Amino acid sequence: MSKLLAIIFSTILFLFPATGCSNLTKENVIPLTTNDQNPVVAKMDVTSPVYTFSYDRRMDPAEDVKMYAPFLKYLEETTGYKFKLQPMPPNQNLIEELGTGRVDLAAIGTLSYLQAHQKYGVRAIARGVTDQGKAEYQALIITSPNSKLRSLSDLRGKTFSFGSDTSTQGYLLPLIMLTQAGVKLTDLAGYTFAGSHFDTANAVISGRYAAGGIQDTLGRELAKKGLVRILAESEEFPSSTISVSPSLPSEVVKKIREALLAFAPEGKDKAMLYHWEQTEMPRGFVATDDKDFDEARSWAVRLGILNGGAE
Amino acid sequence: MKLGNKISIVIVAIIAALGILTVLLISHVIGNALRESVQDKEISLAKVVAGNLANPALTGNYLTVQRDLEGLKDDRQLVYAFLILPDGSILHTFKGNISAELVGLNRLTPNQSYALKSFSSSDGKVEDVGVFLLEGLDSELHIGYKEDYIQTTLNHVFETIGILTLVGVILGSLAAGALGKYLSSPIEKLTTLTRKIAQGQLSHRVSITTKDEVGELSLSFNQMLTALEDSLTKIRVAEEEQRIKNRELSVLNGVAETVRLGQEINLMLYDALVQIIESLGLSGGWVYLRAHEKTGIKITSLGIAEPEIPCSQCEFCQCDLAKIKQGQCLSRNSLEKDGHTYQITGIPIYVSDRILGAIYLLSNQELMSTDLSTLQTIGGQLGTMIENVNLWRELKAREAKVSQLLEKVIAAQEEERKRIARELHDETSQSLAALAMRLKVSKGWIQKDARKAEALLEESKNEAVRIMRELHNIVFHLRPTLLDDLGLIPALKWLAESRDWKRPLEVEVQGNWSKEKIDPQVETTLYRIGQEAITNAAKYSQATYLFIEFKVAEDKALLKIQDNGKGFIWDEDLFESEQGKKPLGLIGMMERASLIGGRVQIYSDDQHGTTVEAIIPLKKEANCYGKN
Repeated sequence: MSKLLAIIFSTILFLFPATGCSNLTKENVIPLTTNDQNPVVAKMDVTSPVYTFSYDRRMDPAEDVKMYAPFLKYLEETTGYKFKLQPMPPNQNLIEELGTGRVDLAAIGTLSYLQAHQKYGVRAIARGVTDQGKAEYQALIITSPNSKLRSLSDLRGKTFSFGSDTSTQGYLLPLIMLTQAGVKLTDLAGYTFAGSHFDTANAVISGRYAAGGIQDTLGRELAKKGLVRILAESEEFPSSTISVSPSLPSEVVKKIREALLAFAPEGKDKAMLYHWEQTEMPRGFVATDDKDFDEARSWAVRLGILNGGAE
Repeated sequence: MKLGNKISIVIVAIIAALGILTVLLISHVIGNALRESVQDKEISLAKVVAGNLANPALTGNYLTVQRDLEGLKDDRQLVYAFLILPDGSILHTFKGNISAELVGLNRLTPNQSYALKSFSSSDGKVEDVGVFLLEGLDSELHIGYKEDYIQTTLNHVFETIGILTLVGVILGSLAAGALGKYLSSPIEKLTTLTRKIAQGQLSHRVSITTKDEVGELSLSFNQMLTALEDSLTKIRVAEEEQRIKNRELSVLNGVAETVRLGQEINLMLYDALVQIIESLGLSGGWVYLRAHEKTGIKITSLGIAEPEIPCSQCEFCQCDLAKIKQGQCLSRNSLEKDGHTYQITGIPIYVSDRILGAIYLLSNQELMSTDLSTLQTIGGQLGTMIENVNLWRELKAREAKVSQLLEKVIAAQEEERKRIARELHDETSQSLAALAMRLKVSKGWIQKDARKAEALLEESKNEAVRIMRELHNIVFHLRPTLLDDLGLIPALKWLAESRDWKRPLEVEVQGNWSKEKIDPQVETTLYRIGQEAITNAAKYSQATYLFIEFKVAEDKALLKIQDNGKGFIWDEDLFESEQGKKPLGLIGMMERASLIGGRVQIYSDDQHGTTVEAIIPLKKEANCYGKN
């Protein structure tokens, strides 16, 4: 009997230490705050060379990040380099950042490229291929579905929303379309730079602006859903570019270009991407050089967006 | 400890152990689940917050971000929140400056979608949840949650399960007690029974009729008890039989050891009585022996001063061997002595059909039949012993008689030789010498005087005739030729008439002697017996008349010699006396007869003459001598 009791009690005693041993371990107490008045700056990983990637704001800032983050992962896996996503804060100019080398490469539209190329010698290494399989894109002028607007000339006396003043599809191409339709900015009741294609779409859908110039991809998607009506389509211009800072070493540029040309967003790389179809390069990239942008450059100069002579 | 208590303790211990185990396991599982759930919730919340903060943060709307972060603090479980912007600058909810330790505590690596870290802070235990503001963006949102409430919830769960376990233990104890009682009660019954069995009470039985293992055990137990009881009974019976046999053997052995030839019968009987009384555990007893046909003598007694119960002299007279063996020759009486009643049992001492005496034994209760049987055997044993002693004595006496007879024979032979020598010397030799002298004188006178010589020769012839008669007499006395020539009766008659007795005897004979010739040995023996009887009658009894009878039947010869002398008083002591003159002549007659299987009977009385009767069997049997 005593053996039996001993077994039972030893079993119970054996079981007890399983509880709360961790409670007994004394841990270091971490102070939450400090009396030091110097602002604390978090240490960032700078151990390996990282190439900074940025972009023209196209849509919702968060959506932009979500789209480009997996793309950078692709580049990292393909080139072996490290890339860092750096959304452009409003107080900073991407063209300047790219030109001065604080940003190494960027997805920028034709207009931004023209400006950066002209000012800093930024090079475009690839152009996006659109849903139509072309390396050109269009801009759309959209209006609300129940708008009475039927042509661009109806825009006179109406309000208009551009995207960003550096945007090709949100500013340059819609401005070209308005000019071609004979509608001057002064003919409008008013216009604004909403900031992004998303903002433009929101401004039009909400009725705050009668019409807006928008990226063709997004515009068609919204039109399919019945949220907007396409009022006019632009001619085709070279689509958005991947441009690199002049300071980026040529071998790196070469590797990145190869990776871009091998990029298959509708094929092998589709699974890792996030709504890549909403970008201006939904089907990948083709190689490009500065000559592809001559017409756009001439229009920009003609419209006074770009300086005439200097390059 | 009782079985029921053991079962209760074991069951309670098992319930308690299982309860504790359950508490621990459930705590572990629920704790983990709760923690995981809370962590999932915290991570989800952090991700939602990060999603909400992404746009204002990315668009540089830091005030909005700051307000949104501080708005989170409405949640009571939240300790802090801070956002690390891509450039390393930090937005946080603390009133003071955030510590560098906290910032560096739970940094994310690019491949992580979130990071969790528990730590002790100045505000208690905190779990830091870190998520990227947006995946792929080098900006982290960290939210610190109080962990205490998880522990509080777990404690509540512990308490509930603990109470349930306690209730389970109590209910289990009651159930275990009842179960223990239910299971152990039949075993207790069996235990009680086993104790009784250990005390030798084999008649009890278990009354459990359940059809389970205990019922089967009880059935087997009962069967075992029955078998045990039977075996024990047999053993006891065997032991009792053995004990009785041992006692019987002990008594018989004890009695047998008392038998020693040459010892006094009284002493032997006393020893035997002691043995019997001691071995059978009796109170006392005594022994009576018949000295003669009707006289009883008390031989010895033990445990009782004087036997108040008189010996019934003829109590066993009608007993024969068959009755003795059937146990019919027992006497039973009772004796009141000193306020105590004794049973007195008389057992005959016998040999063959003869009752030699009896043993009387005092006991507190009637003797067992087995003891009586043993005592009867002892009675026979003692009888045989007494008979043997008597026979031994007789043998001794006879040996003495034979020795005396032998002496007498030798003496008689010597006497006879002396007589013959004397007679030859004194008479025959003298006569022959005188005859020789006479013949010599005659020879001398032949020349001188022929007549005288003739007269002398005539005298010498007469002298020679006389000498011849003398020699004849001598020879006749050595063995009468008449016996051989004419037979026993003429020889005896001649002996009685021819001897020169002081008084001449008138002899009368009767019998059929002439018809048959009997064995010479028998004839010689009868002649010598007759010779002794005639001599005694003529020499010592002053008889004047002698009657001799001789009969020869088919199987025996009888010689009877009767005189009218003065006779003598017959007494057995005549033969027993150690001193004085023994009647060797009578003994010699008897011994002679017994040597050839016959016997001699002597009848005599004072002044009434003596009759000697010798009976000799004629057909000799191989063992006829050994019988006597």
